[in-house]
Amino acid sequence: MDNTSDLNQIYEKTKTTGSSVDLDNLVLEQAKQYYQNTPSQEKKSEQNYYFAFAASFIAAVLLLFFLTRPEDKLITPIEVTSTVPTKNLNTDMVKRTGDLPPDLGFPFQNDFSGKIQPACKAKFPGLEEKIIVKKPTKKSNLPIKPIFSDKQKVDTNISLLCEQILRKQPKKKK
Amino acid sequence: MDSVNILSDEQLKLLCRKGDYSAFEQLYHRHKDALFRFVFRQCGNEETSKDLFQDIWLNIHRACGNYSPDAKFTTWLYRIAHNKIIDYYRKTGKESLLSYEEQLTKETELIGKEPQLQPESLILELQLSECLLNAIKSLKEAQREVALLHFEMGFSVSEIAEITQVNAETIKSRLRYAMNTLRKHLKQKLN
Repeated sequence: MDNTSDLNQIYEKTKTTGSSVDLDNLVLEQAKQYYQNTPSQEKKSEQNYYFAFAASFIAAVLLLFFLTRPEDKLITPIEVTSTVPTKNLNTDMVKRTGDLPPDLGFPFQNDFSGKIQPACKAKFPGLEEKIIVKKPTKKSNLPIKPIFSDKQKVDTNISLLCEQILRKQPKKKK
Repeated sequence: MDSVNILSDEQLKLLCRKGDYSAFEQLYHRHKDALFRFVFRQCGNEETSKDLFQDIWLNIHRACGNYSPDAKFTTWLYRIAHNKIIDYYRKTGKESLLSYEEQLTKETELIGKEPQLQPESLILELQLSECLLNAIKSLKEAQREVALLHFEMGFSVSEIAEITQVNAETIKSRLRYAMNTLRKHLKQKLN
């Protein structure tokens, strides 16, 4: 680059030319108009700051408004007054259970004792004690109650036993 | 105006951002001639140069917000000029440039009026200047731009690379090639 010094010296002689006075006046006049008509960059940035502040404030207010709306307009998946559709419901089960709510769908408790009657009225002394299922000594801590009470089980077992006995009884020869 | 005189280009530019017209005026008077020569010797047409020159200063106003105080003002200024000239080349193409003779005549008139009345040494200098301008004109566009940036403002290779957005190694080779070509032209003229 040092070798370019001679060329630089020669080039310096050509630096006498430049922009004309008319051109200078034109450019400066344009610049003057520009400075008068347009706000400075500082003012622009100040305006932008206030605009951003106002926009964020409005956004915050709108956000708060939508967040604090009453919940009664929320749509629940199942309304309180809705009924269970009976399309796929087993109608036999509904008939059998009577007043039971349809969603349970199966009978319990009174089903056996209410409809099955022992075929004979014979008495078997000591049989009841043998058949009774003894309660377990330990009580469960679980809050689940057994489906059948002991009395019901006894009734059921007696009925079944009677049926078995009657079936096994040989027919009397005439 | 006196207080503005001692400020650097970068400080003046920051004042311009605040809307100080006198700061802009000072900046303009500092750089107008060099910038005009750069544009004029690039495109070769006086009227086009004037239009480009005006556009460049208008762009400086518009791009005022983009100016970072960390950047050197002259680098920023000549980058805008470079982009403007590139746009001009794209619009018109190389063929639109005037012949060198027209430019040379105009410049000779401005450099030394009535050269035949000047001392012999001065005449030789003027001839050399003319020859240099002639040689610059004969350079390829990219090399001419690099040479003009180097001659006019004394920009370094890295600064020219920043202005033209070209790799520094490429700029270095372009500058070397341009200088060799110019020197060859001058030697031929002297012989």
